Amino acid sequence: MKGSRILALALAVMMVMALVPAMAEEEPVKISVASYMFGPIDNERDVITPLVEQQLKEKHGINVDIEVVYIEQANYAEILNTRLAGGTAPDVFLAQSATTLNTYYDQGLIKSWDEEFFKENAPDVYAFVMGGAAYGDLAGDVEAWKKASLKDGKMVVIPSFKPDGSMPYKTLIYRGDWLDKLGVTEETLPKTVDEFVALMGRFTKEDPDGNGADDTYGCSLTAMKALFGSYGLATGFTGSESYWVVRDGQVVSSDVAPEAKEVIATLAAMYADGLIDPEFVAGKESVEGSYWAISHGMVNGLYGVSANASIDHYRLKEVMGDDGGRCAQEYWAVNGPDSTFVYGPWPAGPNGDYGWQVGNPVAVSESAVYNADMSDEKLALIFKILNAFATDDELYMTAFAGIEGTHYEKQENGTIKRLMGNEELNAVGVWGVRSLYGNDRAFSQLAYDMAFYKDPSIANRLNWFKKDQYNSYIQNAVTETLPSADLFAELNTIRDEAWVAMIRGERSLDTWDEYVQSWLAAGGQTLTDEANAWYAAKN
Amino acid sequence: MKKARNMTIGKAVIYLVLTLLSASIVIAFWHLLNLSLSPSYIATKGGLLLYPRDATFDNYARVIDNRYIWLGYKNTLIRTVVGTVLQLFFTAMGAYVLSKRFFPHRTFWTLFIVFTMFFSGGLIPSYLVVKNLGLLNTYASMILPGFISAYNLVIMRNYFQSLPEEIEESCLIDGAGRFRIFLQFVLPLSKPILATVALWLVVGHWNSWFDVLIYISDDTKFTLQIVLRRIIITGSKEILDTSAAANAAEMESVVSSEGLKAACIFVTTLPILCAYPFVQKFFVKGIMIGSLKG
Repeated sequence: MKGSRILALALAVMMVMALVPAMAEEEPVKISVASYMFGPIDNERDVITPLVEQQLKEKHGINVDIEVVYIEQANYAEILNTRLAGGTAPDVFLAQSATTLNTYYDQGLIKSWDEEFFKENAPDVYAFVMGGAAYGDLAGDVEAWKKASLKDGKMVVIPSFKPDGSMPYKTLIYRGDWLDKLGVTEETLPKTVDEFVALMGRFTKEDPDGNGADDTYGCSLTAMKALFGSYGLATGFTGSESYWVVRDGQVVSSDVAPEAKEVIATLAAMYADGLIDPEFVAGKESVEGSYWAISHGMVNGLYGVSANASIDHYRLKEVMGDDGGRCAQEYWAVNGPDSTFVYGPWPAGPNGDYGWQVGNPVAVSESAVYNADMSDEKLALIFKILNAFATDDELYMTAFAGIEGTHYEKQENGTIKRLMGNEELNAVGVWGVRSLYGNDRAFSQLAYDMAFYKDPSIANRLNWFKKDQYNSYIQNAVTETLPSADLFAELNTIRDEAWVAMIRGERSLDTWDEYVQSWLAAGGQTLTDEANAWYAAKN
Repeated sequence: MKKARNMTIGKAVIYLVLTLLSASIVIAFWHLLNLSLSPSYIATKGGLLLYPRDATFDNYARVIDNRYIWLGYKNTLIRTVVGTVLQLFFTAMGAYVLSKRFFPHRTFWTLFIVFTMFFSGGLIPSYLVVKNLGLLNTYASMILPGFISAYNLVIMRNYFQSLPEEIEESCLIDGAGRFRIFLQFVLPLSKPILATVALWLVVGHWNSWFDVLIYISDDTKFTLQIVLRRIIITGSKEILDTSAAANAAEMESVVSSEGLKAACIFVTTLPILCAYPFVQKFFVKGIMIGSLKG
């Protein structure tokens, strides 16, 4: 009898024990997130998402079930919009641009919250930003960050905060062999427009490739565009971008600014001298379908200088410890492994201006926004996860880089080397949960060190651009899409036709004013008014 | 021999023009084939490739390694075969009914269908319909939304109208029902038009990608064109973000080389290319064959 009672007791205890974990097991909160990805996540092979969920649960007491949704990059907005309309959009998605952010906000599609709420749930993220990022070097931009995060006094987005955001995106790259042939050294590279034009003349006429044939030109199309910087302008010439500059308190389009005429005059003179390829508009730099940053004209020895790529594309093997930048690899493959290239300073114009357009340390294009359908509790949970990313380096590394030895290995300089292609990494779950931030890094010392300060190519660039005439400061005065931006398509055609004709000497520069009038009449005036209204409202 | 002597200048010109036209198509494919067999730096050098330089099968090996290509093949085959068979059958049925003069309100129904050729609901309403029918992430979402094409229906209807009614009358006298007449007499007599429409449907399904992009989020249901598209467009456009970090992140990615893209294009277009010659003979036969012969 006694034995059976013990047995019954034991059974009862076992049953209760079996119930305990079932009772403790709360339903995880489901969060879906869609960031820019290189390829779809493969649910069968996804090891990272469960691992991150486990770490969040065990170390931070956050019980979530995260679904990473793949939306193709090229049609991100289109697909997302249909899903927003159909009510099947993910909880977290990308703002994409300041303009789309406005649209989403105006249509009530995204959540807004008080700054206090953010501070409470993500205190370390908040403190990191307020302290001016990793080394306080963005302290001057904290106000701009706050401003960018707010709409009508409430936060709607967590903007990215990048120390390299205001560095120029492109770099002048010269062919090293041509410079050697002509006896030009890094010190004697052109620093003014006049010196630049003179070198282009030598590139064209002194047979820098030494083949005895007159088959070289100085200037490529992108290098021609760099001359706009010498006159304080940025240009969308032959492209679709639009740039605005401030002159005497008024916003003026780069396309009709008085200085643009001087640039075109300089280019026309160069063209008349034969320094510019008559087929310069024919797309001999970026070739359709090919990797955009490769200047085929320069790599193949038609042009001596190009500004189609950034310093990263042409980084050296010893800088990265890998095979070098992507364009550098192509350059070596075509010109031989010992061929060289040289980063050049921006030539300064008559007023001492130089450079290429730069961005802004504060941006929202890669930041996440949060679906208006979600509860405050869920948003609080997401912020807690963001905070966990900022404080827990192990967790961050798992989400951002995967498992050490399988997906990445640590390098001596403190950065990491990824062991798989991006599409593969996406498939196994790397970057997935990290996307709760959007495409950005966590706001933590480790993340910033890896991304900026210890990354040799970017650190190199940060230092590089401290040098005179490598740094640059041409910022677009209008950072949002204007209401009538559709008009640009027509205006850009008018600009390109006029400028190409003027450079080629088919149209006299005396007709500049006529060109400006036709530009204004075709909608330029409307846009200029809108740009000025926007600028006035902003300041 | 006699034919050769009949060669006139006019014919010579026609042959020359046709040869040039064919060459303009064949050379592009030939270049692509050679590109797919070349390492990447050859592609950077540019120019027309008349033979593969430093030939390598690396690109094809990488394509074959990509599991999404095979998944895509599977999904494309499913949608193409199922979609074409069902659509062809139902389009033919609809067209047959509309081709009958005694069908009540025939003009109204014809116009009702033709109407859809000029107006469509637009992207988001279509998405809502598909979503509310519970078709998201199903093969049905690739087939049902464009199930009956008004254009194909009208073409088939016209063909059916040209079939002599006497055959059907004789069948009726012999005791065949309407459905039997349709299946056993009308369809076999309509092979040319069926083949033509089938080819359009096959090519349409094979090339279609936008519906998958919008309706499918399950990566195991992605079709070949979506996979191909992703491989082709990576890195071909500059992201217009002046932030260097965005640029660096983009550069971290392994961008598909020209050779790989070419190999992908080849692997995905070859089957459909091979199908053409076999169906093409039906195109030439013209719209009216058979009639009372049988």
